[in-house]
Amino acid sequence: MGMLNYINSINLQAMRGLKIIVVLISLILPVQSFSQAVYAQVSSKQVQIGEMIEYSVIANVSINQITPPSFEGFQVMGQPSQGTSIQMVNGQSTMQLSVTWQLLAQREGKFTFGKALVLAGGQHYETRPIVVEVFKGNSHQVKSANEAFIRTTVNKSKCFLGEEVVIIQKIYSQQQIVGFQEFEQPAYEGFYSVPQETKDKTLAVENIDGVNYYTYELFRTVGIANKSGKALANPIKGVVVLRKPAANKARNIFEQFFGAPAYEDVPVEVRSKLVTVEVSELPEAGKPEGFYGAVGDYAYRVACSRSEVKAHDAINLRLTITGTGNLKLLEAPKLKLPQDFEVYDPKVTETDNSKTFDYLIIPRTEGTYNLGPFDFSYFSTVTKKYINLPSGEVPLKVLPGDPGAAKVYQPRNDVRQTENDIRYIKKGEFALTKNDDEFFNSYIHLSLLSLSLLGFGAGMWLRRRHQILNSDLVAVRNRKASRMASKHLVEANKLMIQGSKEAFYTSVLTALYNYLSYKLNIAIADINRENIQAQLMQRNLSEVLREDLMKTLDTCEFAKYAPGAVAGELKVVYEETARIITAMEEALNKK
Amino acid sequence: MRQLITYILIVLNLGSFAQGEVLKKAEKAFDARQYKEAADLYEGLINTGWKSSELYFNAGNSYFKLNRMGKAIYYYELARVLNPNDDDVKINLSIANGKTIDKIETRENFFINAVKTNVLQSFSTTQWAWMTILLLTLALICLFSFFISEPIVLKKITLSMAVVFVIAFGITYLLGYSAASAKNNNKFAIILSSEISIQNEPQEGGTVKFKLHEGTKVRVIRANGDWSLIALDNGNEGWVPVKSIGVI
Repeated sequence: MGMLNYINSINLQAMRGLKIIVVLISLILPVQSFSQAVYAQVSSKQVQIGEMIEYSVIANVSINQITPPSFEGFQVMGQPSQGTSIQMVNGQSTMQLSVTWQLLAQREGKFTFGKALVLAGGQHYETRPIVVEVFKGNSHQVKSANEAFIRTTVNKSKCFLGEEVVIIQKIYSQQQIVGFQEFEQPAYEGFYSVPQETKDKTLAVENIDGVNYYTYELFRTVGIANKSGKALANPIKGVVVLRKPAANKARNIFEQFFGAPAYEDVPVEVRSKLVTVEVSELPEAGKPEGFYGAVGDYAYRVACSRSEVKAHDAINLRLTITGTGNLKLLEAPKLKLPQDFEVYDPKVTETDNSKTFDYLIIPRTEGTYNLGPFDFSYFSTVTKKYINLPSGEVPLKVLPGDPGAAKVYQPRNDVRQTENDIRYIKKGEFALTKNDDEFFNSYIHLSLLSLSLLGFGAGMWLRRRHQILNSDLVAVRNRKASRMASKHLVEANKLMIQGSKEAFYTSVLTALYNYLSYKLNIAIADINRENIQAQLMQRNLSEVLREDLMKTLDTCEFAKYAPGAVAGELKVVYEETARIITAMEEALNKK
Repeated sequence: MRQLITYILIVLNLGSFAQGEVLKKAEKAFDARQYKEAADLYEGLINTGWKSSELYFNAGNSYFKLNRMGKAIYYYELARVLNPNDDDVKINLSIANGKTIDKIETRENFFINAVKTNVLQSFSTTQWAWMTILLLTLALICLFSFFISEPIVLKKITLSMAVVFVIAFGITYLLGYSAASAKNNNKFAIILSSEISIQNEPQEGGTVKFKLHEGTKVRVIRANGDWSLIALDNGNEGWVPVKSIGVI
């Protein structure tokens, strides 16, 4: 509370009678043309019976003569006193002269102190009348309410939706303000409120209806009406500490002597009244299409970062709105862009008088586009009309994108299926049945299961039959083998008697090979030594017999083309072959 | 699979030209927003014994449009029994269920139970039956291939496939069996009257235990003449007139 105006008053002299000659302390006083060169004031406009108030006439020029009003309802106590006060403001000093009457309230009621006629500085002045109220009883509340109060002021009592209203809460006190306690923040209804920082908060002196008040601005708020109807600045209350002259306590002599404080600091509760502002809807007439509720006085600019861009690269579109009004409440305008343009939520930067929306836009297909227009419209509080600020169109050339550039397509609109309604009926042909039986485990079900088992069984049976058939063929051939052999051997015997050696050996070989082919189930074309050996080994034919067989085969092959014939030799081969076949037949059939 | 069923159903289909005419008339009525007429036509077919998932579904839709949620849910449920995998049926049923008044907290639907119910209800019993037939046939084909194939690799493959199909057949058969028996043992019903009183005895003037509203699904425990003993998932039970419920 530092910057208090320093006020010092000095009682000079008591004078007799109503005519007063003012003794000037300062002889050279520039006559300043104040709007109110001479005025009257009372120390308090509300007073209880038996209490004193002061009525003063104050002039900044020398007072020559005063005719005071009649102080009805009050008793004038003693002689009027004269005073000079020097006010120092920012190094400049002004001197004020005052003549003060002490008045004792005697009756209850409202009393008007009429005009005081003043002759000062050679001119005649009239002061304004002052109304003073006298109460009965001892109501401290009333007194304190009078001593200090909070006044809420608004710069307009009617406004449009979205218009700004400046709301100021000020405290007024006749006593010096020493400090504050417990002030609650103001609450508003129907306003979007933005608290303002007042830069230099100082105590000031204001004169209201002839009474001087110390004032201090508590809160300054810019309210943006966001609801039509009544917007309210709710009452606030708090406690202010006032410095009051000490009550009429019996001071002891030491206190008086040593100058004990002549004041006391008293906390006083203060309260403001409810203030309402009428908020009217914005007129419907002439409301532009793209109106987003901006109210005030604005300028608008649209800038695009590039005029040429490759597909899938980003561009930045900046919308700047400058001016005054409900900037804080402005929402990002929705951009109307061609299909295949991806747009992200804008970045919003805000200063005191501007708001910038930066949109990141990614074109996805090449082409030449004219983006926009992105018009901005607002309701002007000055002209009370809608104003449209055109943006013009923003030309943009989209070049083919780099191959492999982000092909990630973000779906522009989420396909959100909200199943509000039921799915449509099923149309067309569908199967109707009257069958009411349970199919599961029904005879049909079980027989179908059995059918598949039957099918499997049939398959297996067929396979088995085929196998048997195949194995029979082998047996037949097996059985035929010895017959085949003996048939060829009989022929060989005939040839041996004829003495045709070559044909004899051929016949013997045929007998042996045919026998082995049938017996071992090897095709005649596949007959060779290895096959025969392998098959015979597999069938556990004794090694001696196998060697005998191989030897006979060798002999026959060799002797078939050998020159000369040994008569007895053919007989030996013939008998040997017959023996081997008989032995093999015996051995193989045993298995 | 479904095509096969449809084919079989067409083979078994006894629907004649007359029924097709009725269906067309009902469709027209539905499109003309004559839902009452559509509902009556569909219900006429149903009452004469015709059944099909689509028929029930369309009847349900007509009643839904008429804001008769009880009947709508009843027919959707019937459609779902015949074809549990139809998305249209599922969605419409859930929308209709969202419009019912009674919200009954289920007490005994444990996780396992829920899973079991879900698995069993994922196919109709008829579909389960067809699956058993298909799987057994496949298993036997594989087994046969095992016997006739020569290369050892082929033998291995066919045998393991046969084993897999046999196991799948076994599981499917068991699931189908439980689904079929569940269908037999657990009869459900939908409340068709807008509000009914659940009484403590099967006769007029019994003490009212609680009240239920149109569309609520209840379990039917047994019937006694014109009265049915029903139970709710939260354990409450009582008697209601058979007329006021639709047994699924």
